[in-house]
Amino acid sequence: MKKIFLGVILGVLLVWAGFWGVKYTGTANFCSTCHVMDFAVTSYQSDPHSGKNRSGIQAQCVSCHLPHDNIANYLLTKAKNGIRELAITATNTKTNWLEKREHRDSFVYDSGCVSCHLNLNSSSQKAKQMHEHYTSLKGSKNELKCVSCHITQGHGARLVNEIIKNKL
Amino acid sequence: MALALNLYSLEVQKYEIKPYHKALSLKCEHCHETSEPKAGERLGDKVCLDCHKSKEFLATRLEYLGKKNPHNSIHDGTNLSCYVCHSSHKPSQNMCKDCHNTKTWMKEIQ
Repeated sequence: MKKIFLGVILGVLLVWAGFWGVKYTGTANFCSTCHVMDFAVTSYQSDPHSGKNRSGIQAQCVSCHLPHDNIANYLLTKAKNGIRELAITATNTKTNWLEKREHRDSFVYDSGCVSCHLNLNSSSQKAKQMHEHYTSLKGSKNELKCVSCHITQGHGARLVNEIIKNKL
Repeated sequence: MALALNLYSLEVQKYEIKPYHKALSLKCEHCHETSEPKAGERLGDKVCLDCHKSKEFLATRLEYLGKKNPHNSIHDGTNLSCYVCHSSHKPSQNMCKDCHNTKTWMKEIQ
């Protein structure tokens, strides 16, 4: 009985620690502890996604840069990205961010965008037309991602400025 | 039907669009409001800015060029028409190059 009780306590503690760990490592504060991410955080802070918007809602790095289609994919991608980022930082490997930015559709996930932006037809006529275009291409070889068009979302107009200023 | 499709694809080839617009599979009507625009129809800056936000926003994106920022130059500020340099169906012309050697600080515009 005592063993079962201890097991339950240990289980609860592990779940709590796991939940806390996943949550904490998903905040902008955690990501910015690596100096290599300074440019990303500085530019993010000037963007409405940092909370500078009418509602005050703040998107975290992981809101856009991890998939939100299911928890297993989220955790797996998080683990893979974490290990890769750690290796890049430990080996002091230089990343060409301007080049990497061209492939943004591979590290910004639509499932994150649409988990907040539920209604794609609520804004201007132009936006409605372009979102219909996006929807019509879904599943085709020319499928678009949100960031195919929204190239500055998340980091505002100053991302390239920050990359060049920091000689990245 | 086949003839109409062929004529359409000939028209599309004739008015080739830029690779970055092609990558988004943009069609005539996304800029021209009709799938059969008139030849030589001129569009205003608003059509570009419907997607590209504002001239001030574009100027901010190129702030790193300082006084050499073509979207906020010491000559014209943010007031230039998009079409002075950018063309959608023919090679763009960088107006700065008319007087300046831009090779060291600006990439070729498409």
